[in-house]
Amino acid sequence: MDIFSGILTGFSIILNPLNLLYCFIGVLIGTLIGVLPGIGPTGAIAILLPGTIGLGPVPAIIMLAGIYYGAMYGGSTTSILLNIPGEAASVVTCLDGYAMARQGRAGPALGISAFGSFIGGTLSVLGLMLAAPPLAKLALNFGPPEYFTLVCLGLSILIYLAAGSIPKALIMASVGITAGCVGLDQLSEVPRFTFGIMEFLDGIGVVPVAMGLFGIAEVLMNIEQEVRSKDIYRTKLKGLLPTVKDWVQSAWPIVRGTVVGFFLGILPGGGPMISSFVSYGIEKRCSKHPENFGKGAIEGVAGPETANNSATGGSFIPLLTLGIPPNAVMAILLGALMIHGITPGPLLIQRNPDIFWGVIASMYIGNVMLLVLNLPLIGLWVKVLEIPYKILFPLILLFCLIGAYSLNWSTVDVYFMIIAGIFGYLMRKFGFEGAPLILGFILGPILELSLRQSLLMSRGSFQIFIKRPFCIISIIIIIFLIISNFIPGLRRKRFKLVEEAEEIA
Amino acid sequence: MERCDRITSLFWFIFGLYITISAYTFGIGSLSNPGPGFIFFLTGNFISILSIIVFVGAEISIKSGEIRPISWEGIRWGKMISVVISLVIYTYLFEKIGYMLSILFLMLYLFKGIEPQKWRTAITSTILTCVMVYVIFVLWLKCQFPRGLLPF
Repeated sequence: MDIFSGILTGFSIILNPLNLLYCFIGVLIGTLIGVLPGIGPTGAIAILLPGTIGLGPVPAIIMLAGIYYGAMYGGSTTSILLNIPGEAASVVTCLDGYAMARQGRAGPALGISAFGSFIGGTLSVLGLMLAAPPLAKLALNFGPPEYFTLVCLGLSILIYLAAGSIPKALIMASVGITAGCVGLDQLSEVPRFTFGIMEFLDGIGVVPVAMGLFGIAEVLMNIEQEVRSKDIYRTKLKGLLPTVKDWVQSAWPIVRGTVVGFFLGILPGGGPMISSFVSYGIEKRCSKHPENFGKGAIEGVAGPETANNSATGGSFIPLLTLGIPPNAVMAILLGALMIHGITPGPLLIQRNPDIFWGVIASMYIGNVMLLVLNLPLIGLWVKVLEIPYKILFPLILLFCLIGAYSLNWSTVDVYFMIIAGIFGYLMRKFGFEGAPLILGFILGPILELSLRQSLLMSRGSFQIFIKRPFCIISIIIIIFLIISNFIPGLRRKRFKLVEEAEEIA
Repeated sequence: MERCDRITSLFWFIFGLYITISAYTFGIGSLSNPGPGFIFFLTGNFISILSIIVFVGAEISIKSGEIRPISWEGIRWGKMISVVISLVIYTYLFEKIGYMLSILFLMLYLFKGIEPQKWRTAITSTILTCVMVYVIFVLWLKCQFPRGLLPF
């Protein structure tokens, strides 16, 4: 199927009223999740995933994907009006977005953020559509050694970009790999770490773990101190359409944000948050007036908001073509695909063209829906912001509980989710991040199988990893990432980025 | 943070050791024929080695006085623990007394017991939540929850 007939197939799928409805529900929930601080897209997708089991795979994935890119749109609203990022990818928007709101320019800030998101999101879907089919063809030649080095590369990049200590991130990734390999061995069927629990024979479910780490732990972090009401910056929202001057100032940041976001989205370990930070840094360097950044420069809103939306399209490439999730959200989407009996990878486009092209077409439609939802209905989202957290957190907990139970109609998953939540809370307090753990958890079985198959193929020789061009490139990048941590200049840059992120957060 | 790192690194060291020892019981195999415990042998050792690095890093930071404190101040441990206990009790009761009653008790507790709210607000929010669960999960998504003591 060529690209043109593929996209026609995609539109015939998405224009089905039911799929259109689920696309709308997805982007609506996504915007809501983005607007509401205290729960991010990772937690939201994990919580809502069990609810999609009754739906077919196409509407389920369309809806879950909608939540992901919808959250990127909504996240800017709280950053601009409250100085509180709705989700991690909008942290950097606080800097200039809130400053613009204080200057009475909340309207143009929200407007350019929505338009930038739309442009970045749409162009990245175009990139996804053009890049994924040839990449999938290339990936058909990949064997276990390529998969092993690719998984190692993904984990290395994520760990390199981790906000805190690298050894701690490595511990988390190793714990994730260990937990991900629990259950019957894929080759010998020996039970491992099952402790006699029948439910563990198939392995620990990714959804209860993700719900615990990103849902329950997040709630515990938020209620550990007294919940205070939010101070919404009250200003009359006017002039949501940016002026010609605003457009002139934002045009190049939007272009650069699209390119940066798309490529960082593809990169394993990258994603919307990293893209927004990198875009902000680039805009500050490119600007003739870098001193205005942090004081209400519209470029500081346009670039990062475009980049984080563009990254969502890029993130789908490794998932749909290689079956390798580049970040935590994609890891949960991989789980969703597998729950619906679909194996992502190079054969996905051939075997399940309805899923691949349906999701792509839904993203075009979804971006248009989001533009409509986010501009004329901005007043509604501001009202949503007024819902107190003391009403929200019991609902988040309830959705987690019901979601975990609905997976297998078993309370074992619920207990496991609660344990994962307590573990996630304590680990966060001690400076250990959840993202490397969940990525290691998902990639663990792929890593184990590809390593063992590679060693079987080579009769125990590690030279198999340096005989193939793709493996060599991956290993060179991994070595560079490790060495760069010991080069003072690069090490300082990494820590500076971390410090900036922590300061803003 | 660094003081706590000493304790967490000890925890991870023991955890890594446990994984490594368990790997032997599963069978590590050889490089040419890796067994079911092979990956656990690698991760277990890796975790133990990394925990030593974290421990040494913490010791160096403490000795040089570069300590970042963890803010334990003002944490409402009582509320946190009661939330966790309420979740465990809810899970235990879920299949015994049914989904509706367990959700009702849990929501009422979370709305009223954790953050102070008026009884009227708490009861209204609880009832609305129960109705929402019934409509979305039972009627729409056709979820088969245990009914328990109630007929619906």
